Amino acid sequence: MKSLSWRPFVVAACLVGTALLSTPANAAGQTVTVWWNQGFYPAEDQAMKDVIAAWEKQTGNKVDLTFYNGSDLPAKIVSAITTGEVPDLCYVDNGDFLLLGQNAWNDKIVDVSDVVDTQKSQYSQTAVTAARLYDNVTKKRSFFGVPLKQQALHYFVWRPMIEAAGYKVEDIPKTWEAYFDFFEGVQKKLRAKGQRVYGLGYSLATKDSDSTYLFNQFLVAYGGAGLVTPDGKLHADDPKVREAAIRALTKLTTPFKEGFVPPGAINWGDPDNNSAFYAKQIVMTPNATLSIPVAQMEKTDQYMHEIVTQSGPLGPDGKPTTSLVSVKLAFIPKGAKNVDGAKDFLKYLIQPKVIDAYLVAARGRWLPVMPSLAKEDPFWTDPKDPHRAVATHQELDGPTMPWFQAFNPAYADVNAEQVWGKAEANVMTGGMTPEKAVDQALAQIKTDFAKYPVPAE
Amino acid sequence: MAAAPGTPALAAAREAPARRGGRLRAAHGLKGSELSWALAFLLPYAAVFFAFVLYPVGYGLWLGSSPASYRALFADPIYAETVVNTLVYLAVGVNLKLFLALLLSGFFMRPGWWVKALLLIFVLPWAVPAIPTFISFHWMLNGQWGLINNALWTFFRMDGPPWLDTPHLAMGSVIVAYIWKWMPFWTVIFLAGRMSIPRELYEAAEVDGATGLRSFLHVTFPLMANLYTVCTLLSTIWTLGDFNTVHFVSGGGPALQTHVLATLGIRDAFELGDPGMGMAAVISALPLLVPLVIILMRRLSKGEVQL
Repeated sequence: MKSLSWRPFVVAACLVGTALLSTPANAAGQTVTVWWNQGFYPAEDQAMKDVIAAWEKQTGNKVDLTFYNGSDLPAKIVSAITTGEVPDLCYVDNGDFLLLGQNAWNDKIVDVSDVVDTQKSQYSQTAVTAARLYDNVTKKRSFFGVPLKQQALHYFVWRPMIEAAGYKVEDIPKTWEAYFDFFEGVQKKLRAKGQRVYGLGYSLATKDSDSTYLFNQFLVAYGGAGLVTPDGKLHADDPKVREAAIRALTKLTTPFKEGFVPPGAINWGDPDNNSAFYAKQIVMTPNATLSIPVAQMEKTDQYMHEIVTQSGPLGPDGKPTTSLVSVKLAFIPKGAKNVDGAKDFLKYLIQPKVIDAYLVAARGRWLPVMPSLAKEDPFWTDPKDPHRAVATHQELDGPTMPWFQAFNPAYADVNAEQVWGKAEANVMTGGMTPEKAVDQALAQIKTDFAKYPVPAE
Repeated sequence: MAAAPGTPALAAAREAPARRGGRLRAAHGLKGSELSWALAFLLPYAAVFFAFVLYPVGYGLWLGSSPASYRALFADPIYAETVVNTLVYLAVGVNLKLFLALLLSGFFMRPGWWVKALLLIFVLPWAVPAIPTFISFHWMLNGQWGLINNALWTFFRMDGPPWLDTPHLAMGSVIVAYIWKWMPFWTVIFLAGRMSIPRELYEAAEVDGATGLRSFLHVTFPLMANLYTVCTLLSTIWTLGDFNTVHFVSGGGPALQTHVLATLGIRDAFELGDPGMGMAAVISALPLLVPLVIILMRRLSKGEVQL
């Protein structure tokens, strides 16, 4: 009998091995793999590249940076965490809304307290609260995200459209009801002149985060801030909360049904109200961050004169409205190969001068999470800039609170399921009363919270 | 005519199984370096099959194996709506597309250079990449600044229909985009089928008085029936996994009311961050998919796909 030859097996093994091992290898401990949310305009991306270049030069380490579209990155991160093939560092704009809280709860995120501690005294209380998440495996609340920047809802108005309707920007009322009614009046006047425009650019969809932001900001304005308390407890049965939700839902959906909001708003993703605004199809739109004016910075007339940024009216109770502030967090998934390198980079990035330079280079679309920066760097309060000073005053001087998901990750599920967007659709196109839609939404929220029994601290 | 006993044809038929058996025995009898080389050639294919077919499918089934995922899926009110949407999408989209393709293939059988030129233009939607096509549909159908409604406003000062903003219109828009994209492909398939029908059959039918519709009903359709059935099965299987059309035309909106199982699976897995539930949504299509595949395989194995 002929003996079995091993040579073919060696050949086959080489072929298979070559195929399997043909991916480029990283030098262990020297390269930090970073997945970062692509900016709204090139300056945002360049700002991050500049920070990375400076850190690489200082440390001799390398960063393998990949920008991903903000709509695609959450899916990429979910896949990575599911399969265990994770990058060393992640940042996604909607991370706090959609995935950070749940993954911290499931012990999938690295504790970054040692990073945050290096600048803890610099952070606003809102930023600190937003970054302290609960890990249900270790049974402790800790820093699972590093605060980088923040956003709140601002209101953007076209001055030429207001003037074409026969008003001045100064005529815009300061009280809650009158403020929004004003834009309905503007629409009537412009339509009478044959213009195909809408007064209110509300995002009322079941995707992305703009519609979620708008509803929850209205909920807080109407007195529903107690829906979730800082101890993580849900108060869906509180009559005050239910009443606030009903009023918020009514206030947002009635103009839609009456034709003051574009019908397409029921389908808007995050960039769509920006697009409608630029196309001058809406007179006013609420939007988180200063992306709307900042993306038009090269068009000096538009930036300096035509687009007006407002912090919004006084609340329905006549007092300044508490702004819901979304703190944007970078995080390290568990399983990252170079946790030390990622932490080292984050420590570098959140040094006040570095993070300030980064946010300034990104044109101030996002605001700092360190109040001292706004005081020390005149960029943030420059009275010649018609947008930044308004946003800085609103977010860093005015009353603010973190989002509910900072208190309990269940609310990130609520956001992801678009519970409030569905309630809006039920009223707008399903013929449901706001009361019934709110009760249905609160029932769903209770179900979601039952999955995350956060103990009191 | 049947082969007579002892004829060469019958002898060859009798010998065939024996030869096949002989080859099998020879394969099993490989020894030494022959066996090693056979295994060496087989190994890369087996590895690739494992890495890119067995492992992903197995991993997916494992992800969707938790009963809790199915409980969560079935409790989601969107799921029932999605199942209905999927069935409507399959029933209307596939059948309308194939029926129109069958009719159009008759038109393209007509002689004339302009018909051939038209066919060239007609197949363009199939030739262009799918995603830009569906994104174009999405933008054209935008209620406020889309091409169609802008034209309606410009010429008639009227707001056009909210194509993507009401569930029925949005689902209809998805189906129209789907048919526009894929009908040319099936038209070409049916055209090839029609071209292989012998002219003599039509001439004979004409002698018997069957022309026009009667010729179609008594000659074309019976001869194309097997092909049509297989195409319907195949198209249904492909369409069941179609993600692009719904995702890029309606995005599952408005208010999550036009999702199909393929897009719901992605939403559950990545937007809700629950891969198990996403896989459960996809796996829940198997009771429909598996019988379709079995029927298709049986038809193909019986060699019934012939004119």
